[in-house]
Amino acid sequence: MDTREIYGKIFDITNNNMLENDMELEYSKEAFLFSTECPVGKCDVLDMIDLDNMSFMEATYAALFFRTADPGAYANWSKRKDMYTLDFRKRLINSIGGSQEYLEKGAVLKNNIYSNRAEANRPVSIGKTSDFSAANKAVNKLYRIYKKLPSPLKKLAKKLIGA
Amino acid sequence: MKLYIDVSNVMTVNFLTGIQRVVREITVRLYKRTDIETVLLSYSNEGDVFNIVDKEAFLDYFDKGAGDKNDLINYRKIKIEDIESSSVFFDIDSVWNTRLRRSYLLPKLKDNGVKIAVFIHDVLSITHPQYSHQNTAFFFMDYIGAYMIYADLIITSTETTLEAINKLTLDLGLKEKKGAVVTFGSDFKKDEREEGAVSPYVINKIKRKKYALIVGTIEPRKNHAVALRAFEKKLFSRDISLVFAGRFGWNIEEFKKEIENHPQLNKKLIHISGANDATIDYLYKNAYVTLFPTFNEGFGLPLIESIERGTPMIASNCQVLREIGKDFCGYFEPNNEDELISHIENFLDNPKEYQRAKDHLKDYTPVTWDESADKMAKALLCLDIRSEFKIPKIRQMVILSAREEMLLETIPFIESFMPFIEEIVICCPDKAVKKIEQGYNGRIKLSFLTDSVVLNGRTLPKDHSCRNFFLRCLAFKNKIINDAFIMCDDDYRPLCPISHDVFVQDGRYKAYYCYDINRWQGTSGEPTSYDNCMFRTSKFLKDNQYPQKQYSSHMPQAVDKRIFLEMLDSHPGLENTGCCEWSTYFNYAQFFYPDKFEALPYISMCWPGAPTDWDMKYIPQMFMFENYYPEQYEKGGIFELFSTVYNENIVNENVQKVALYINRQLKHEAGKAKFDMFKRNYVYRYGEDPIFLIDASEEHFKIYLPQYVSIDESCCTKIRFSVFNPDNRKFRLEYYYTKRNGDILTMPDGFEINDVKYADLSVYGLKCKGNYILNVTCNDGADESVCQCQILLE
Repeated sequence: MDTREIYGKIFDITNNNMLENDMELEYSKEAFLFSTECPVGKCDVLDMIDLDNMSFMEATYAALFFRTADPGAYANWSKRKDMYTLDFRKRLINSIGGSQEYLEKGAVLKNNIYSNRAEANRPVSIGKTSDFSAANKAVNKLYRIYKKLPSPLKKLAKKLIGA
Repeated sequence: MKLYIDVSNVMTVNFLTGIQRVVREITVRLYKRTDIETVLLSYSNEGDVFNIVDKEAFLDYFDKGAGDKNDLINYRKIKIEDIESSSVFFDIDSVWNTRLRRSYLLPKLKDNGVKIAVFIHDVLSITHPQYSHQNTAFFFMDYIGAYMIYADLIITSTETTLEAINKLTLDLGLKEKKGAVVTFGSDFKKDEREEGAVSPYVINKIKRKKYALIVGTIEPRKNHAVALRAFEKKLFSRDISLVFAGRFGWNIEEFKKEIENHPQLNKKLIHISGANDATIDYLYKNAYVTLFPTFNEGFGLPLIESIERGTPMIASNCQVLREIGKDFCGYFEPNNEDELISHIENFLDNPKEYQRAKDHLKDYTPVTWDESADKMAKALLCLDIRSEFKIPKIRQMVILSAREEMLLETIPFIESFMPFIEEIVICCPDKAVKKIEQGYNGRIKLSFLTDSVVLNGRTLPKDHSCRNFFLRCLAFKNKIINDAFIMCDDDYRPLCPISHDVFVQDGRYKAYYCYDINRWQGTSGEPTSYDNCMFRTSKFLKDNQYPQKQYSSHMPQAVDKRIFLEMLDSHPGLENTGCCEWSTYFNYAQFFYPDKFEALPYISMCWPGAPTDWDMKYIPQMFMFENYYPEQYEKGGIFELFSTVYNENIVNENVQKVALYINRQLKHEAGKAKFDMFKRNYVYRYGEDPIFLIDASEEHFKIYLPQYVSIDESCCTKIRFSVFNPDNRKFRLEYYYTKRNGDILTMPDGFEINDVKYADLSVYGLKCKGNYILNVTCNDGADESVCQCQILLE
């Protein structure tokens, strides 16, 4: 049984009933489906990668605030929905993450690549190496050679040195 | 039967109308029953945990009207996963308003084998969502969807609602669920804290007035507007007033302004908000007529409450109200104020007609809340399955083996420590029989089911796990196998004397689990035959909504052949699916015969073989069996100094082995605890989980690490990386240490990654405390990326 399909049908039935009364649900099906798969209290940003900006906003509100966006917030983010994806999400996530409601409700962001702290392939600043000993230089040189070896030879090298 | 009820919403709201009133009346009565052990729960924001409501305090507050609501929560808690598999979880409150979404909770309960029942008040947020707040509709869809998928029993208050649910089930392409209809009671319970406290304000307002009364929250669906239109059109000019008793609800701002500015307000239009039960009772009894113009309802409690108090009722002609009200009410089209006017004027102009309607109400037989709760209990007790079959004494063990030496080394352990085993049936290749017969000369009778007999011309699957499952499914059909036996592999060795009670006690089989199979991640990198078997089994269990415990605990376990064969009959072709015989059987058995099985954490040592293989979810409280790995007795292995075969000193040796194993495991757990503490502190400091992520979606790998990491300096810590790899790139994930000045300290260590969502990188400590740099690299030959973070070894 595909539970996602079932939840999707529930959404369609409800939305159709709204349409028959000249109304519409104010959130997307994708945001709703994300909410049904998201653990309570944890929001994995990676799972929302494929959502469009507004669905991303709706899904984030449901996951972190346990409610849909109020009309004011909705209008506010609606104005920005055509922003570049990364910029929109960074702004949204950092706005929500810094809010009192986020702290009070206690939900946690996971894999938050939009965080101000997240940086891919970050190097840590390393101090000067003016006092390199010859041995250290040799180890570094050997390591550079090791990195270029094919896998079977790498395994053999590790076996030889007892790694 | 043990019954768990989530009353989180009742605990937080300050009013007791509608649904909350129903919850109070029913739960108080269920609580008092002796055939049902009721546990009330309130969700705790600490995550996956419920607070247990204090029983006495609950009854004091909700039944006797004494005490403080704050005293209801005691300090006892229960995790969702600890809700017993033989129990029933029952939802009756408006739980879609709480943060514990049912799309999250119900599959967890189902995985644990808990039976799920729900009282659904209505499905109006699905069928008539235009009357719901958008927020309500969002979370109600989640609630209804979850129950459509996972419920074992759906209870409603009307046939109309049950029909609507069955129609919805059909529209979703699902099988109809077991249903029951339980009518609500209508006997008010006076709030003893306010004995005799009818509001003097209200008494004064309606003094000497003839009035039409509408009870209930003022919201669009309730359609107070048609009554106001009818009165404005004609009835205000007659000798009758209009009374609204209810607070303003949602999406009613314009109507609210209309009432607040109405020229007849406090003259012939009265609005009463926040009235207690005594006041509502007074209003009903003194009303000329009550109106219920709602567009739709789940039940319509005001209808019953009015009839029972002998006040004629005029209701909208929706199906639910006709079902409840029968011929005790007048009905009108809810959009037609003229029809409503006509009904009321008929009463006003024909006193005999009015009296006849009033007299007829005496024929109404009300249902009490006691009767309602009793019927509810009977419906729930149907979920308490009691099976009739008896469990015979176990005398036989069935072992699958293709390793004669291994088997011959294991049998002496069984002979010595399991005296109740009189026979071992060995399923083995034909050529193994002679060697086994010649190699064993003990008290246990050896019988053989050879491959040629079992297969009878069929081909054996190549894959190890598929082969084992196939063989066992066929072998168990053989008459030589007893109704109850111990299923075992050739490398499961008892460590000490084992009694029959370890497998069967108090008329129930014991079933030992080691994990939750739906959480099994497998070996990082390339899944093994065992891993794939677990994934297939999890899918089978999920597709059939069976529980999801992992029973391949690498120890002997008792099996009932009748249930095993029943499982095979229920799922034709199952033997060809390469599932796990342990987890399919025990989860099936738990589901259909919960009273005959007791699920317990496992009691075998060396599963996992090494602490770094996988993280234990359930820690054994004792070790009675060993999952024997020969390599652990080789040079450098944990049991290097011990004997591999049974000997006179084996009991002492086993005691020492267990101590060594526990010591190693404790060290590993201590290291894991340090890493868990780091993660918690990181969340506390930064408000988010520390990020360990590999993004392989673009040409250049992106690796994310947190600001810093802290692990134990003397152990191996498994760090779980999320892997975003939509194109299934194959690459190598490695790590190495450097000093802060860039000096390399270790060689890179890691593994190949291929089509996984998570990768557990085993990071070994340096056995020396300090502040270093952790370098993580990804390399697919064409591209290599590295990311660094500070790592504190302590």
